[in-house]
Amino acid sequence: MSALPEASLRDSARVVFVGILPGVLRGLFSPRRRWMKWLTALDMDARAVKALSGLRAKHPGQGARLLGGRIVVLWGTDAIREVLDKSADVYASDSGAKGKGMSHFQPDALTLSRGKEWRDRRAFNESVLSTSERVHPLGERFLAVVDDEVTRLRIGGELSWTEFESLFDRMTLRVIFGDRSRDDQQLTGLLERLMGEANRLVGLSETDDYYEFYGLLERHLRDPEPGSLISRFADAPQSDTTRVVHQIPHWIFAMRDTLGANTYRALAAIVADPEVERRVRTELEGADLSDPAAVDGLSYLGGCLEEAMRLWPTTPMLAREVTRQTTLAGETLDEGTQVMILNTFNHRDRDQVPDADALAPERWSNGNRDYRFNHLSNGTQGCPGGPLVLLLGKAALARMLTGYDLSLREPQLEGAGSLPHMLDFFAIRFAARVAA
Amino acid sequence: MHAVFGRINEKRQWHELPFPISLLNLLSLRLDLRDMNLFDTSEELKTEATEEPPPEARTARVPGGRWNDLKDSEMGSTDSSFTRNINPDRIKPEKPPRLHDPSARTVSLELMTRDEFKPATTLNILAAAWIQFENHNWFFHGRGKAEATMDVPIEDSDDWPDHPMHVRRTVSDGASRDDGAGDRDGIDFGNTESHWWDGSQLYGANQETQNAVRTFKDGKLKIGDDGRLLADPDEPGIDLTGFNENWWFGLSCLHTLFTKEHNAICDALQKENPRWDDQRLFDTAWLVNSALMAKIHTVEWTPGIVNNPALWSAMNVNWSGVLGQNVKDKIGRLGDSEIFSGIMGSPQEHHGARFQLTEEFVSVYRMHPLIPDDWKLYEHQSGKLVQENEFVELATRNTRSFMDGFDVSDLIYSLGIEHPGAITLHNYPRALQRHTRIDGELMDLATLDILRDRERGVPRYNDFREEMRMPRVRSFDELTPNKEWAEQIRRVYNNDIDKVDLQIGMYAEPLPKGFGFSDTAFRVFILMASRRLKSDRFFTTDFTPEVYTQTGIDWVNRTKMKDVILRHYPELTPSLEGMPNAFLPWHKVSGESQNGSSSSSKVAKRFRGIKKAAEAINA
Repeated sequence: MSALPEASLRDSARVVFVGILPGVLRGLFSPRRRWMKWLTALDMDARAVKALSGLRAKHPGQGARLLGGRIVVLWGTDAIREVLDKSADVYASDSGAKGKGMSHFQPDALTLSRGKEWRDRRAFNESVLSTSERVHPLGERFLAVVDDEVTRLRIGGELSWTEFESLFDRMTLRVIFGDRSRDDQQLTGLLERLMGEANRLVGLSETDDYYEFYGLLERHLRDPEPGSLISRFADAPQSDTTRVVHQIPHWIFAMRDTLGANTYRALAAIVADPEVERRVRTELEGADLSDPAAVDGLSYLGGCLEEAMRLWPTTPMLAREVTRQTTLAGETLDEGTQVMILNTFNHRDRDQVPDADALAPERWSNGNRDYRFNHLSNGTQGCPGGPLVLLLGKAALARMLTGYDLSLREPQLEGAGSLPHMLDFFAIRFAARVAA
Repeated sequence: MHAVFGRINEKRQWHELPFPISLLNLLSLRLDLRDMNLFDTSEELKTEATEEPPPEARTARVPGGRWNDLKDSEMGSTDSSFTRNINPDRIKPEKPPRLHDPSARTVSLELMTRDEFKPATTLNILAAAWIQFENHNWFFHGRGKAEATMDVPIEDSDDWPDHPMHVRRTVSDGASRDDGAGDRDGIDFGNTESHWWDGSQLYGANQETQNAVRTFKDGKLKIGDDGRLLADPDEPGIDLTGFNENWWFGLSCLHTLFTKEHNAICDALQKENPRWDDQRLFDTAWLVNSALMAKIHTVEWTPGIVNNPALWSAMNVNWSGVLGQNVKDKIGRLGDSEIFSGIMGSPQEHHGARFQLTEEFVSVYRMHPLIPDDWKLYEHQSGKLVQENEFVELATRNTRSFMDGFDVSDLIYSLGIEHPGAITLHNYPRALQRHTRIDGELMDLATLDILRDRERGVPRYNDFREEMRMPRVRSFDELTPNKEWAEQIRRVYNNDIDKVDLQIGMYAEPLPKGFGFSDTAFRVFILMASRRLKSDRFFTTDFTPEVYTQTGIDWVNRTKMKDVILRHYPELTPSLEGMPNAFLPWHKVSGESQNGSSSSSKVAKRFRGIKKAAEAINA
């Protein structure tokens, strides 16, 4: 039996309409508040899971070919591993809607690179972000930033996304550029605008905002503040193809928007379940939150954060284009084939993931990466900022939970056993008061 | 027009607009520039004469350029100061540490060093030699003093012999002035040439030099029986002529050509006026020859290097007006309008500021990347490659001995068929980055090109653009579409786009279609190109048969560069047959590859197309 059989046209169309299209409508780069609300109301991700489960039941191998083989959808861990381990080379992530849209605001980003350029940029990113270290060398300062920002958060009885977004906005600016950039909302605003434009995928051209934005980034680099990520540039490996300035925007939105949303959802999931909250608070008791090693050691809390990322993946799918004819799971793929890894489905695939819809932080306690779960991706293109965002996210959760008494006002989450497929972070609200 | 184009230009530049709107935009820009970018540094424009001009100055040029303006004898003369295209109140000559931020030598090595020769395929090397020839007509800041230097910081690893590099300062004009005006914070620098377009590179910028090149017989200039210029008795290896600094064989060829042209004009004038004395023949031939060079520059060289329909039109409008040379020949001028009938013969006008060339004008003519490093020399009859040389072997004190091995026509042929370098980053001739002057001084001209602008307070790229009312560039990516360059420039200027030097910005920015140099440089050029005609009495009020003779006027109007070349070297006819412009690559004589000739005819064809369109508009 073929590992990648051909799906019927009807099934292909279903996958495209419920599995892929909603991701585009939601906003590939900058989440659209209104679409998020509608798609959540329609519970679109649940429909996607259902459609894919049906398809997988028919073709239980590694995946299926759609639309005459132009698109391949993968659900088998082996095939996913094969693709992700050859990413940025045989499988490029710079194509299709992602390539088109992202080029509008970060045409030379690592994630859009391949071959020699990718290796060059990867080395730079890994060096600045300290990918190989569990704790970033500047971790202590970053934790102080998180502490300071959580303390300065103004909450009048209620915590909503607006406050939380601005918390992460300031944290991000201070971590990347240093304390004096705390109020540089012009920078994040420009990026947000460019990303919003990129969502529409068509009619994009270089704008004044683009040059303005990169001009501002360059301005920050003239005199890098010690203790910031950009202060590490001078010692990082780089060449004229690295395009160092172009590596920054991804960090900004990964830290500010993506990590912000994930942390916010994790917070909701934690306080919605008294047992989970109790275990988190037990872990936090006596922990020195100014010590990076101690924060890194908060494994249950870390599991909660990764669970939020798994349950509600901010990147609904990973798309790769085959750059030269190759074989996958023993089958030939032609150059130009689009390979889709649908996180929305794979993360909630009840046949392969035990307790797929539950918050199960223990899942992450052994520390191994799992190729089924790709919120931080895996393989060669695994997120180079992974350890850093986990550290920051855990620190923010820890400070929020120790600094405030929080209870979820909206939406209602019915305990950790059966969490909904969609959780609109724009709509999450907490009752909040400063902890005694 | 200002209001309309001002709005349009916020989004799109003139060259992005369709023809002929682009032409109107250009005219509008020129009006704006005249209004807002002409400044006197030290002296106001005189409105009344205080001195009676000597009678001979009324109908002839004077060595050194005095009395071109009859109310203001010193205007534009030798040793008078350069003025500015920028309000002098905003001129800030740079001092350390800013003067060396970043080190001009670093800029030279990191951004200008030629990695591989990048040819300007639409031009021939004659075009490169021509602009140097004309620069020497217009300006020279002098050699400076060995004891007054700037110390350019240099990397330990740099193999330059001196650490730091010593570069002579430009001599400021203020110190020598006795009127107590001071040197205005060091922004006045003298021009050792006359500012006028008076052929001083041939005729000298003072009486002494002029006397040295004249025969004092039949109005003629000195030339050997072998058709070569004479040797300069003081400078071994160099020719005797009006200005012979920076010498190499390309300059020698042009000086030879126009020395011969002068003498041919003398012959024609003498034939009609057998009783004229040497001085009158000389004076008139000088006028005619100078006007001819100005014309070739305006209607041939410029449209050659800025090969764009709007420019083609604009240059012809400058010279002969919208109505074109034919109408002007047949019915004469249509009133004083420079638009309808061109600047030639319209009334002299300074547009509110004394005519002197400007430091900004000097800056935009820094075009050293035009010079190749590796030279091929051919025989014009067979087209055979006979010799290959490096620049140093055919320049400075080697020039004359190098030329002894060739017929001048072979050398001109070689200049005609080969391409100059493109004016971009990473295309600076190696030979000029490590150039030993005739007096033995070792210099890096690329370092100098950067340092001179800073020293003289010519603003850096973004500030310069703002002064020319062009939009500032906000990021290195906006400066240049070449990503590798953008990175290199960013690194050298430590992420500060506002520090980028004018030259670097101009070499990096994308060029308008057909352009051989930047749009930024071009802004100064549209102002000054017309001004150096419009301010000169001998191109305007006195461009008349009474002063020039009808023969002289006709000579100017009917001669093109090709005619000059073929008059003196008729053997080059096969290479120039059908060429619309002598600065485009010539036909290679058989024996050479077909590729070469087909590329030259392709360029010629495009050029003819543009010319035709422009002429249709002009007519």
